[in-house]
Amino acid sequence: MIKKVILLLLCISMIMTLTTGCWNNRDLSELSILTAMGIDQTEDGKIMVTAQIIKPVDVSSSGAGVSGGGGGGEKSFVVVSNTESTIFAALRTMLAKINKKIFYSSSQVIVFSEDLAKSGIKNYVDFILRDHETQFKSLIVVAKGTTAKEIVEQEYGLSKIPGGYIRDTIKNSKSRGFTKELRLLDMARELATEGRELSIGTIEKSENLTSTEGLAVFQKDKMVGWLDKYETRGYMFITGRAKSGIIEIESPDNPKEIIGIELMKGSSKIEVNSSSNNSIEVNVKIKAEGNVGEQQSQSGQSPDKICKSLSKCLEKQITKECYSAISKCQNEYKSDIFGFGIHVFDKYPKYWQKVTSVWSEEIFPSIQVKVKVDAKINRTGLLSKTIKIR
Amino acid sequence: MGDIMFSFFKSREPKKPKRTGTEVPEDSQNNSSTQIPKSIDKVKGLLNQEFSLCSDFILREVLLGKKNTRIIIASIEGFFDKAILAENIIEPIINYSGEKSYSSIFTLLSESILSVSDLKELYSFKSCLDGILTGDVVLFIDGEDKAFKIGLKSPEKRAVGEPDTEISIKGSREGFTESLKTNLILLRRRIKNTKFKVESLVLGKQTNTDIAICYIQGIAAPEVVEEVRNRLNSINIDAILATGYMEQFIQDGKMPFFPMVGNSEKPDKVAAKLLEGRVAILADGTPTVLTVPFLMIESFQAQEDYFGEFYFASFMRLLRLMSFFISVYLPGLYVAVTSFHQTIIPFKLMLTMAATREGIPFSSFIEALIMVITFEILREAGLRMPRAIGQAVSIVGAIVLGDAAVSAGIASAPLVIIAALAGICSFIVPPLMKVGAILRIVILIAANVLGLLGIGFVTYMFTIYLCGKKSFFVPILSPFAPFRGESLKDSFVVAPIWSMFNRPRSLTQDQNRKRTTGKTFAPRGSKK
Repeated sequence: MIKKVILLLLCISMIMTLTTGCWNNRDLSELSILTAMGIDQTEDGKIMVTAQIIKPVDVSSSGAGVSGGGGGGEKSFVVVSNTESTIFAALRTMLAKINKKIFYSSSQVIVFSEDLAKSGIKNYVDFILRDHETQFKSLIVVAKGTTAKEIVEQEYGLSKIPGGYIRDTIKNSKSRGFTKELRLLDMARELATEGRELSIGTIEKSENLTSTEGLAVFQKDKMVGWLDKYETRGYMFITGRAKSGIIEIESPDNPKEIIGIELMKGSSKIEVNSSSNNSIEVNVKIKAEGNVGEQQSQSGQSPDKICKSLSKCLEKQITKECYSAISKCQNEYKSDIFGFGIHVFDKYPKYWQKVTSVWSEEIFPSIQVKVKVDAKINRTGLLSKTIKIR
Repeated sequence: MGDIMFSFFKSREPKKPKRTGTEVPEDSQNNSSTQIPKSIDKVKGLLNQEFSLCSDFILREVLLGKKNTRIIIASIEGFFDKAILAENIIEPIINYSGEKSYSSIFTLLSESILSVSDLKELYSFKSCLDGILTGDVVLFIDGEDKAFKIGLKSPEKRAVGEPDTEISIKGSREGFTESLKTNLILLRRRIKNTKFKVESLVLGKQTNTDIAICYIQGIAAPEVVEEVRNRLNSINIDAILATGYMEQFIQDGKMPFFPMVGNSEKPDKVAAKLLEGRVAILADGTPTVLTVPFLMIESFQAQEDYFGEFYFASFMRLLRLMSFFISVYLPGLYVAVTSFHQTIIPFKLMLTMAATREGIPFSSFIEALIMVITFEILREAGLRMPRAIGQAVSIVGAIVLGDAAVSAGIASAPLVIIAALAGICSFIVPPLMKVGAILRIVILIAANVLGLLGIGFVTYMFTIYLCGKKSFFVPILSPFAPFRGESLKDSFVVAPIWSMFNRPRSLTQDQNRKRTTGKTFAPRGSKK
């Protein structure tokens, strides 16, 4: 009998340990599905959170037969803004305006406004990391030239779900190389890692759509400036993120003729050495492979004959982009977004301890960075030579 | 832990039902179980007393030879052809002129007069009664305390046909019938071996049903056979109208939740089970044969798995396993995911699901419960109703309850799909269909209370429960728990039959099939 009681207690305690944590039964139909969140700073220092909430029936064409009309011109989402001192409070008090509890695990993008980024984001990341409901896979962008609200409330003709649309445009940076795909989790990592500064992709309004090109460079948690799209690609090359994209190079014969190279593979290796005078020297070795995708030249030789010289040009172009990114970060922003510091820490931990506090401002701008690109042209597409026009 | 939760089900020894106060006075039987009276008039009186008001009872009196010895022929009408009785028994007795000398009237009858093959001497009146009741012809002779039992039985029976419940495409189309004799012949025809043993006994105080225990000596474990014998003998019940009555008595545990005894209507299947070391129990009057020990994995096995392409059989086996899990878990998973774990739904699917849930007045749990129970109602209706109105049920089921429920906004479309899919999947594994229906609802409730955690918890409980269950000394989860590597060849997958060298280890006493290679010919090109 006693044995049975003990077993029963054991059983109950097991259930209790299993059932800890946050759980409650909320039906899907009782949730407001948030797809994008914009975070702005108001003039009096408060936070304005803009939530983009989807109306599922209007999005899904196959409603449950109860869809209330929908169609022509009606937006498939609702945008609600709310201003409070904390994001959490702003989201919660938003319930005064909307009927269903906000479900923000489905958030596709989180947009920070430029002003807020410039004044520092450290106060605002805590909530999105602490709360169990936020989605670590949400992508982070900084709105350039507009407020976050404007990005979030905009309706984009291409998709009924603006959040999903923005997410997809950032995601296809894979085939462009002009912006960085940064998940919430990565942002937290970049903020916390010593020896690397944070950099977040940017988003701009472009007519009725958005455009995600360029990079916002941070020093600690404060934004210090922008990189344009070519500089961004330089950054992507150095960090080994550039895997695909179209690189335009000048023809070796005639600088006016442009040849488009499609990047097929890219990788990078960063090595840190200390030179004789005790200063740090960084060697970046980039390997790139590409195919000829477009040739405007009418007169020039067929690309397969000049693969060697073409790859030289490609090397030159990539090197140029890399150096422009490095020099801007070294001289203008004083921000080591490339993470050279991590390599220094790996190789010279003792030295790193001495310079940790001054790395970005003092040491990084003065280090010597050498970029060596090893490029290869593999294929030239279906044509060996451009067709002759009569 | 499982023991506590399921102490409700737990009782290893089947307890004999208590029958105090309902004892039938056996005075008359005591009298009749004694010797057969020598006086033929007394016999006649006793018979008439026993069979009073039995209009199907026949009693015919004839005289033998010059001495005019009185002989009574007693039987029940309909068990045999009356012409045979007249030609082979009555006619020779009446026509006997009595020229030969004989030592006793018995040898005379058996050696010179009765032209029948099945002849047996009886010594007690009780056995005479049993003989008459089972359809034999009994001859009582004046002045003798013995009687003859003559088997002429050829009762009305259904022809051997394909069972509706277990259809096979490639295998044998034969199914058991209600006749025990026919069923034994069907088995014997498949196992032509003296080691194939058939033990018979009679059960049911009122019905006196013939039962047969079949096994293959040398393959079946003797302790299992002994246990089957013991459990069957300890059954104390008025009637055995179907093998199902015995099932509850002989299964392990008082109220096991999962099936503990195998059922089949196909002789080829039962023969295969016998050859793996199982024991079969047949009863007169039922086409369903019980096989023990029963393993869970048997529910997923089909006769056709062993024919032809083993990879396809393996695929089907996996599909059946998957279907069982789908049928049990799918509604619960849907409820858990839509009410607790919205995060794990892919974003676009979530939008679709949210759209379909929009405007539904019930929570997904209530909705799922309604749909699942509706399905069970439809299933049961389809099973019980007369065939002629089958159409109506399908129309009502498909259109009214499916489509109309969705367009009326009472149920969401995905849930109709889920309930239907779960229901259909449950038909793929018929032995577990009933337990699956209950489990589905249990899981559904658990999902509503604790989400995936609840589902995990219920699964955990049932797994523990199952791990502790044994059917006739064999753990029903074997070959998984306890793990039997060799037997895994016939579990989630089916290995080619030539590679199954051993019989299932947990079942048999003599595992080795005694063959080194299954294939008797070498594949082309492998000779060197």
